[in-house]
Amino acid sequence: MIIITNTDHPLKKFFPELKQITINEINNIKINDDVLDLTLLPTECKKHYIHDIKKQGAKKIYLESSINALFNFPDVAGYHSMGFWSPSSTYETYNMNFSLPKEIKTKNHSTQPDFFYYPRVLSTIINEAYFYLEEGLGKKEDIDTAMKYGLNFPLGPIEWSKKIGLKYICYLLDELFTMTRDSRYGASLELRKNL
Amino acid sequence: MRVLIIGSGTMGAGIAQWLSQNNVTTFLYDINHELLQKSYKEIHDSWDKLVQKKKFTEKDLGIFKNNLNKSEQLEIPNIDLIIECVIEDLNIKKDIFKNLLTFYTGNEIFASNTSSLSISELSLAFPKERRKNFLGIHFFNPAPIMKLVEVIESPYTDAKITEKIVNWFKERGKKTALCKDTPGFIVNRIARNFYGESLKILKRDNMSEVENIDTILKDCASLKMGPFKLLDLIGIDTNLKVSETVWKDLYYPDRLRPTSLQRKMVESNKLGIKSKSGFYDYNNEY
Repeated sequence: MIIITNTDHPLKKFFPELKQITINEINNIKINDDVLDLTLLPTECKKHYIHDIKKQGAKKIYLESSINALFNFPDVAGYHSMGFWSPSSTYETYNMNFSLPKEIKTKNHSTQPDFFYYPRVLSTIINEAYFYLEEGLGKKEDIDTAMKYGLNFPLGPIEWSKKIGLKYICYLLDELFTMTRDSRYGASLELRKNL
Repeated sequence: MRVLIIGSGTMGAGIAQWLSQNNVTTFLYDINHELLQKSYKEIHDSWDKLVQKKKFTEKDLGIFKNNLNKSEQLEIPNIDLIIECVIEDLNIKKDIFKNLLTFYTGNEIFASNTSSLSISELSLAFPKERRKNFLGIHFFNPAPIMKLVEVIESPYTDAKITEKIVNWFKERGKKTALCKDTPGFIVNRIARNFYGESLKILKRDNMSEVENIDTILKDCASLKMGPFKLLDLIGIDTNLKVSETVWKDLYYPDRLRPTSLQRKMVESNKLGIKSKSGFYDYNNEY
């Protein structure tokens, strides 16, 4: 199995025995193996990427899909959300039929979800926090304090958004909007400004 | 500071208990003298239990009991801060403030513990020159345990009063979050999609997914409780009312629209723990 990432992915270190390449290298390497994908890409880019790695001989693909609708990628072996930062290093999976290192905790879905749950719910909470900022109602520190001590969140939504990466939250909201056409998923201007 | 709490229900009693534990001379008032006596006794009973559990000493208990006073009169000398904790009715609250102004004619600070009403609108109960001394101080239940206090300014609140209140609470171990007057303040607004998006994921023909959603969100997000367990605890009807109020008062943004599933739960009297049935069944537990 080969790991492919587009970032210096924090979970790479748990797979020291696997060959690891970046997305920029895939056209120069014959893969001819199963792939554990750790790239976070918008759906259209991901489709091109899957096409490219299959051309290079990728066999079973275990796809990072935390910011995508899973049904957009019907020809992969399994799905996971290991690209979307979790404070407890716990990630959702579907059909990941191989053992992951014990440091990575998983929650397996028995049926394929449209979107993984944790990234989806958290993105809408974070989006609301940015709408709140956009309206000039308060400071980032006060939002974080309120959500930590009022709802026992481990982090405030603003701090949380920085751990995940604002662009990935925005990609996911855009994907949710594209798939549902429900304007509840429109990303706030304040979120986009800070990408 | 000497503090007067108006209303000895769950929140008023909880705030009075916390204040007394933090060395504040506190007066608890309720128009219903039976409820006042009951709440006063419950606070004392709670302290006795906490001493048995060794959370406090007998000496602490003596100080707390000395700090807490129940009062059947509204007019009390040398009060610095008055916090109103009565039912969520704008006119009732305004009337209370108007009545208090007849006794308290100096520099007293007035506050409302409202969770849903407009601080700006409540401030209109005060004459112009006294509005600067009014603000929202929103505690979380249970007040003796939950550290957060949201401090909400009206357009008239004096920034120095806000600063004084924020610092005063911080000195006593509360975590303060300052915000402008807006529906839901901070927590009740930003938390809406913790419930709302979870309800969107849940489909009415697959209610068995409740536990899965709860477990995934609890574990992946490192939370104490998933959204459906929390809804059952808060009360599905209570939560729906907050969702509807925030949505309406923000002029119906799509992203905060409540779900028909939640409304159907309420219509079916599936309210959570209080009705022994909600997203989970509690018939064997209570």
